[in-house]
Amino acid sequence: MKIKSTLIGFILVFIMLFNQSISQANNNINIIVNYRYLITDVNPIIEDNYCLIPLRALSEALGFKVEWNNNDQKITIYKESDIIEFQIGNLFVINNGKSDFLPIAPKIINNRTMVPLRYISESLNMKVNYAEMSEEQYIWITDFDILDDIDVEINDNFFMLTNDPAPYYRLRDNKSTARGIKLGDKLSTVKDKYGTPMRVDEMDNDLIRLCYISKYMPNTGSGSALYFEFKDETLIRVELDPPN
Amino acid sequence: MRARHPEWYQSDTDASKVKGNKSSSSSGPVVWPVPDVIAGKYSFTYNPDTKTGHRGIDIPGGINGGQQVVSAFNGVVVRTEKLTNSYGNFVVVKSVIDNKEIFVYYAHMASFQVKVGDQLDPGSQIGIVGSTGKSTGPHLHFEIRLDNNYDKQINPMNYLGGY
Repeated sequence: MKIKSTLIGFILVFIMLFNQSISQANNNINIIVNYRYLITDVNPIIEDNYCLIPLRALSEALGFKVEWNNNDQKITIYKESDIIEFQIGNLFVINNGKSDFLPIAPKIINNRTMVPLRYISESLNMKVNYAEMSEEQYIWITDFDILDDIDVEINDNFFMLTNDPAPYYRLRDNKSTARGIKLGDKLSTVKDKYGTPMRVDEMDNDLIRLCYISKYMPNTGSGSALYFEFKDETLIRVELDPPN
Repeated sequence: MRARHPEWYQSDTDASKVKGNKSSSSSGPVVWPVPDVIAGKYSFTYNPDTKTGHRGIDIPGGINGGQQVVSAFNGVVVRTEKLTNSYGNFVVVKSVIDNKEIFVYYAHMASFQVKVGDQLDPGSQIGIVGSTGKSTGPHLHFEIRLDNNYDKQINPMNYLGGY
């Protein structure tokens, strides 16, 4: 009897330790959808480098409809003309009528259906970025492209235009950006290289400004912005606005 | 190259503190600059030696912003600007605390309603929380400079004593 209870105690301790290590490995996943943090009732988890996220939270954040078939645990996601069909525990997926494979199978954890974040987000035309910063994991799901760190590196190609009220840099006339963009390039060329901007501003004097940003947190001055200013679709200025 | 780290911006808000309560420093009353947002322990991470870190604190304004921004101290408005980048719409208020001149920056506001020369009391309205300039959503960037020099920021929390 004593041996039995010791064994059970052992197993319980083991389970507790195991559970703790799982939650510790996963408890610092911050998900940002455009400009806000996504709060989920069940924590997202990362398995084999793929993030699984509660379906309901993702559907509310990205605005898709969900049809759930309890008989065969099939899930169908609808958004505008996109339809994605998959099944719990199954890698097979039908994405807009085409057969495909998920990187990780959907599963049920604590009564929540957990689905692959990147696959579904990207299938619905969102961009997904990941970074590990200060021992926390960050995942951005955005409808615009996020700059890489090298895009916003303040190097000799830029000069400090002002430090009032904060340091602010401009690309030198004869230099190019990290992706090879230089003054005189067309707006379409910049979009080809940098993708969808976070924002497009219509400025005074018929200037158009494409605003891109590096990895950021909501409701802050974090992230570096890269501004491309165009006159008649031709690039006349590139400026770099560091975190403030 | 400047490092960019999220801890620059992290706040450790203490929800047990009652929002909007008045506090005081050795030089008089102090008001939390966004009374509708719970005051807390915001980390100021600027390192003057390496010139890295966040030079102020970011007080979040939720999805829509619109909260009132009020003067934290007695002071006089010395500058107002509307930029399409950087600090966006911002106001600088000069105050004297502990016989030292400080310059208090209220940045990224949706709008402001003060002009240069206005005398402000603690709690006087300055503007509205917004997301102008380089910003990823409504927040007030609150920053204090010892003299009006970009590299002389000091920890605002030291002057918001009690919050």
